[in-house]
Amino acid sequence: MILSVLLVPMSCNKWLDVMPDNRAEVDTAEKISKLLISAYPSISYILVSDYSSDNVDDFGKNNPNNSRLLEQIYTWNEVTESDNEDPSRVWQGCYSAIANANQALAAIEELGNTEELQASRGEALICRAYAHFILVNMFCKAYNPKTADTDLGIPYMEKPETELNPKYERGTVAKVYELMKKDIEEGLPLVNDASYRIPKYHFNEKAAYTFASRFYLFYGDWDEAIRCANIALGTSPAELLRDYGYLSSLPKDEDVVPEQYASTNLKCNFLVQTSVSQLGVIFGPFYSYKRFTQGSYLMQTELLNCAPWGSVTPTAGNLTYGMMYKLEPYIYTAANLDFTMLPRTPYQFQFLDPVAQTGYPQTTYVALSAEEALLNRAEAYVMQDKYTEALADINMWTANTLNPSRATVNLSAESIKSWADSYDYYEPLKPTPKKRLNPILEEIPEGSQKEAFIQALLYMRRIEFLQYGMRFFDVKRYGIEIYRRTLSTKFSVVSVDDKLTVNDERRALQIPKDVVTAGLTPNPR
Amino acid sequence: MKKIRLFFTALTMLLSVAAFAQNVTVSGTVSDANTGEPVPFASIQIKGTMTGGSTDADGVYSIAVPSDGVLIFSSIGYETTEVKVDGKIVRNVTLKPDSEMLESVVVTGMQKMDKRLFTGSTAKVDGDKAKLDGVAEVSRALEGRASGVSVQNVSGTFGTAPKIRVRGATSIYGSSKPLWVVDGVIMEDVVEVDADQLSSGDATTLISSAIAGLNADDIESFQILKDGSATSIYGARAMAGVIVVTTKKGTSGRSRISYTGEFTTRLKPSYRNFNIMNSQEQMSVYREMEQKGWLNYADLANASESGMYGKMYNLITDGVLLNTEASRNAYLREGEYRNTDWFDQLFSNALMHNHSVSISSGNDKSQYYASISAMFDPGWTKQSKVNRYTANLNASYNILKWLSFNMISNASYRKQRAPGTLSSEVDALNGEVKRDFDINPYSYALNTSRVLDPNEYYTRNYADFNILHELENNYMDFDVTDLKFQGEFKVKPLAGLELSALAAVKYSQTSQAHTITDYSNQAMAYRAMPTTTIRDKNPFLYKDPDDPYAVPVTVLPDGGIYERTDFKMLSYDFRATAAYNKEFNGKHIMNLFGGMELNSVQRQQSWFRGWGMQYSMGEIPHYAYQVFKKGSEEGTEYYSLVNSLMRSVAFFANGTYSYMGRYTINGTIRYEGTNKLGKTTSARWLPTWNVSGAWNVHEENWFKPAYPAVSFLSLKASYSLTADRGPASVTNSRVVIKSQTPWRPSAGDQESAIYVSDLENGELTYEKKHEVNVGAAVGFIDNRINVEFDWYKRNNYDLIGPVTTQGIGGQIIKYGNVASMQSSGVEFTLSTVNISTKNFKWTTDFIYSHATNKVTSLENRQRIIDLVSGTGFALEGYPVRSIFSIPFKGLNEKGLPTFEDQDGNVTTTGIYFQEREKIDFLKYSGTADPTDFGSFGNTFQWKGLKLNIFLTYSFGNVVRMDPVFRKGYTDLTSMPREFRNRWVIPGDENVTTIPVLASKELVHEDSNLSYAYNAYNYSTERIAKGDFIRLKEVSLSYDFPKKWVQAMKMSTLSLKVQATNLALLYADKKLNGQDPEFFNTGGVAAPVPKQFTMTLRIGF
Repeated sequence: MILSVLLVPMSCNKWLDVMPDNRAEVDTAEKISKLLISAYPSISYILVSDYSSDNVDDFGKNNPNNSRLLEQIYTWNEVTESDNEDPSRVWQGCYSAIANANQALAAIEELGNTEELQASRGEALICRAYAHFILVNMFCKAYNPKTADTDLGIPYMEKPETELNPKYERGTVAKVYELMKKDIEEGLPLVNDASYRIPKYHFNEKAAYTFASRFYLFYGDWDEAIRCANIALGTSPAELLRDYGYLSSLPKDEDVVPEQYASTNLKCNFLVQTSVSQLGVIFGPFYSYKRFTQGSYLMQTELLNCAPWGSVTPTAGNLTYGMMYKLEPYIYTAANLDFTMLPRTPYQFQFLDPVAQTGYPQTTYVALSAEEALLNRAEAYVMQDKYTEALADINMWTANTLNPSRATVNLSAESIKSWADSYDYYEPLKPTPKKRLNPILEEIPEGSQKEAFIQALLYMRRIEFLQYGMRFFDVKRYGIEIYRRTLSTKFSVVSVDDKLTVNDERRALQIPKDVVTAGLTPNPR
Repeated sequence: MKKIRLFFTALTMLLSVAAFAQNVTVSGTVSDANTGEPVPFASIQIKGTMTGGSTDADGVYSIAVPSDGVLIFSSIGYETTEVKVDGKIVRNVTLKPDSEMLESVVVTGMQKMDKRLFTGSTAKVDGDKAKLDGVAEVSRALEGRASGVSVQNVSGTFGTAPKIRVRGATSIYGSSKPLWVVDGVIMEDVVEVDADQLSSGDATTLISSAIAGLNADDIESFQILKDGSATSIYGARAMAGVIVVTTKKGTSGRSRISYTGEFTTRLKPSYRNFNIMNSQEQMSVYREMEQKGWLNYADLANASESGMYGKMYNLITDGVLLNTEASRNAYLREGEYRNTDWFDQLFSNALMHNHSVSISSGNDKSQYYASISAMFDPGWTKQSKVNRYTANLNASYNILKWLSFNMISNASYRKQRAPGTLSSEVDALNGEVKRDFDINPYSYALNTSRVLDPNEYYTRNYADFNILHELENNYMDFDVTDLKFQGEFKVKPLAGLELSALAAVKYSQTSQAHTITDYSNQAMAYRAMPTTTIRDKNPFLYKDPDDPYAVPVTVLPDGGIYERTDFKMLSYDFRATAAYNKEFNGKHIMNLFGGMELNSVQRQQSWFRGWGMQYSMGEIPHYAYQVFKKGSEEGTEYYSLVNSLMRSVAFFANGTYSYMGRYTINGTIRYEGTNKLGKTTSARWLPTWNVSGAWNVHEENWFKPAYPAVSFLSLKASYSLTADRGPASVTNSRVVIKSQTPWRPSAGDQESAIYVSDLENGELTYEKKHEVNVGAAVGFIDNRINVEFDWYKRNNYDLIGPVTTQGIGGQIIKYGNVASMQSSGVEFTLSTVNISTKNFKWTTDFIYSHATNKVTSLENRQRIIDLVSGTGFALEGYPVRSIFSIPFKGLNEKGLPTFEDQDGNVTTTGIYFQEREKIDFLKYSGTADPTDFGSFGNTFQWKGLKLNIFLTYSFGNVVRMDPVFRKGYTDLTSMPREFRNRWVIPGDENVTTIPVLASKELVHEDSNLSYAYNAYNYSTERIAKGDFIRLKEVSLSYDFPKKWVQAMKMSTLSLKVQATNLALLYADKKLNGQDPEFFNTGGVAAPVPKQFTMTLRIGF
């Protein structure tokens, strides 16, 4: 009797082996490639990263356009506010992308790892490395060969999670970079553009190699960084660069230009991504959120003006510096508003129900571009002291970006050196575009030609990736000390509030509060 | 062989002759006089002696008696009957049920058990007793009828299930809904609607009741199985209790046809019962608003919503009205005296009538019962018409003595109309629950200013709006079909053994079509662009993102919107059981029962929205291509399909042993598997069980002297494990991969994708409950006073709750079996026959239940907005449905409300409704579920006249008052009278707690002012007790005397007049007419009306 009760259920198991709902099972090559569409972070790191960098100032407590979240991020405090793009969403967005990649890799193994699955395997590996790359650069210290073996890393997930609440160890930064390198090396040769329907939303070859060049640049492998950038840029890189003529011909509309900037139709945009995001408002022509923002003072003294290609005397009223660029910045000033924007992050909306008018704010951004490959390569050349090659890349960028009638488009080693020499090192009350470097990968002698090149390249990168979050990574890589300042709308510094020193623990952003509660080691504070 | 048998027969006869020379052996069957069913284990006593016996499980007996002796037959629930032997050797006896005594048989839906041997906690409610005439939804009738069962009519709209709890909540995220079993078949819901959704007013609530297709006249009885022992045969589905419905069947030897007609009229709500300003008071507030900078020309001329003032400005613009103070005042004065009665405009007393005819007949060979019914409800409010038709056939045929077949088929069709509605949304940022385009007549009447002219068009969503016109042009039609076919074979191969096989098929189909005609406001809003200002502001217009030079255009140039949702459900049930009842030596009674069942439920839901349906042009769709481009760019779906398939298998066995009916022990085990918990074989199977015992003290010989003072005493106890599958959304014992279309800005870049929606949780299992139940039943004075008492304690564990993980797998918050709660309660039923004479009888029933629960382990993931809003939410250390309030700290010198905030400061606008961590500052106000509830009923009967007064009561919960305060009001809003006491001048803060009507200047100063007013809506000031005593039913019925009736060739004729829901005898004064049971959420929700019903019953 007891035996029969135990045996019958076994035969019933088959009857119960049906899916309870319309969930999918990953059992074909096509489904694996569809699963990989979800292996990209759905939440961008841009907001957290850009607001942690020196691209923003505080316009004072009396500015009513405050946001608690931005305040916590700006002050490098632990973030307790929740929003669609707070650090915990970034964490979850990246690990969720990794989970999808790992699920795909598990399915590839199950289906026998056949030839037709190799392109998907390549994409999955690169996706996995990319999401970990964002996590490690946000929540850990920059890769420093001397300390990476002890610096706290982040758990590197290589297979799907199957338990309800497993506990993980953080490991070290060195380990994370080692595993990323392994994934990249294994994945890069497998990536195949022909396997994608919408290649610009996937790691196509150009995107994958650009990402690899960034990885090797951060890792200090200059040869590999150059090799990968070469593959991404091909034989005629100049033709790949952004067509500013087209963008500046559009009506100067805050919706239209950013939408076109991030369009998949542009050759320069290697990887385009979307995110549930308020960036379109934060970096858009709205009062909201403008207590902490990028104002004229910052632009005039260190970001768009005082450039290797020219300068005008920084004053509140003189906006002619903007004309140095083919795509002029949009400048807004009013009561409680001092904001300069580059039209890069459109404000878009996903309607879940257009009749009830409900949905999510969205934005589209360029995650990897031709410009990045070019600037990565230039930097690697400089680090190898190949200044001629570096200068060629630098001038290719200036020729494409700058307005030749207003700016010096052809730079030379001398002009760069004299530009760098003409400025003292930055101080928060006496800002200059030259910030003291404490590089962690290799020594760069102060006052050297090499430093001048790096200063110029960092300047270019800051503009190229403004509102795209890259600056914070560069600040970490080069050990740049940055400050928190309160500005008045009258173009002056009211107070200097805080400083991120070279060895400041806060360079590794604190991991999300929930994650700490769940038992993961927090970063020291 | 034959020889031997003859020899034995002879021997026995000789022996018996030798032993009892003057005795005869009498045998026969004891059966129920009404149903013809055998009465098992009825006790038989030879009058004047202590000797006796009892019938077996099939009601058959055999006993040796003196040939002139008298046999006394008795069984609990029946009148004691004496039968003279008169020398006959076959005596078939029928016992008349004693209506005042406890019911004798417990129907668990699978088994019928002798009440004396039943060890679980249960309550039986007769269909005709519970029936509320004029209330077509049968589940509402259970309110106050059984202890431990709470019924909250969160909405009175037909088809909406009331919120029913058997012994309170059993789950935190799950539905806690009891299982409905009709004639042995589990009724599945077409669509899973949880407790929060029930009170949401969303359109799906109208199909939330699994038994809306049952005709109340067909119901024989409800059996409510409460504790784990009673429900254990349903083990892994029965955590929240089981309600077993038995429908009527034919009886042998009686044929009848009966007709029941119910005619109901409902009262229109009246402003007298609500605390709403009349038009004069309202106009004076508008005047104040005008002075404070609101309602000015600039704001209203291009406003998305406006009323009297907006209309006035438009008339001035059009040159119809002179722009002088005198003419403006004259125009406004019209409104001041208008005093529109919206209830009168939108409600109706029209007669609802329900007719049902049943035929029943039978003989020894076959019995049948057939009925049809038709209900016509023209609607209490505009656009709420319902027609329902049901048919029911129940037939049995005894093919052979040991083989019978029973078949039941039910069909019902419902056609219903409801005002058009969309789902409601919570705006967590400033704490508002909104529903766009809401035209619910009840909430419109409550919330709309009485200065408005009901025949005039005002403005909503930049387009013309008139409620009467809109209701005509924006409505939903429901077509609901339910079919059930079931058949059951019963075989009795041996005495005491019964094998049965039951198969059932159920099919339901519901279609919900939302008609938004060409001229409805909702369609016109898509093309409202009278001025360029409005064109640029109207959010329903579309601007092409691919065209840098685009201007907003309409996506609905012609026609309206046609939206349709279809729900289908097909389910199969198969069950095979064996029951063996045996009695040894008249002392040992043994019942064994076992079997297996298979269930399969297939559900399908599809949805479609068609744009540009030209209802007025021959129903031809004409759509703009932009509608698809827009939808694709915005990531909106235009149709959807959801299929689901649930399968389960269960094996169960139950054994009962009783010694002389005195001591009974019982044990049940059920082993159940389901596919809902995914593919892993470890999680899907679960054994559930119970052990229990009963002691019928009155059967003890030493107790007999107490009879009849104490006529009955029975004690019982049980301990059990039952379970449930947890919330429908948690099914990730294997990874759940779903499909999605990631949002991308350009239609050309779209790709469909799949993604990991839930990570694998290999440990996922059922939600479980351990329960101890101790009960006692006592009867005094020959059962004229009956008392039943139950005490229980429950430990619910492995409940699904959120858990914060490190998020390395991709999800920080996961749901797993991590929560637990405890609950306990007592239940008490007292029924007395106060006076019983030949012509007059007075009986009283008093029912009281007390149920409390406490969450013992749960991680909080709720935001403040969830904890303070009306339905409440679970928090560790508090009841499952707790309502919290923001601590109100008085008004400040500007008349604005102040509160204590999350950091301990006093603030006006500093409450963050999305906060999850710092919630300790919230004040616990109480639970949303009542803790003490029950009823008090009295019936007086004088000859054929019967008066029934039935009160229900409920105590111990709190309700959130309607959120009426806002930073600004339009000239459409109506306001409660509290506003008369509002803060007006500094100093008022010492005498009033009603905040100031914010001036425009004040709003401009502080852009967060809406937080202050919303925090006030959810503050300690705006909470009221939910306690009430309701005069639920007063009815007077008259059974015409037999003589007259027979003269008219009828067998019965009765007339009944009933008033339902007549009054709230007690409720918190603060509520000011707000029904404490009802959630005024708009949509399709409406309160239960006050109604009068006349019922005519004729039988031939």
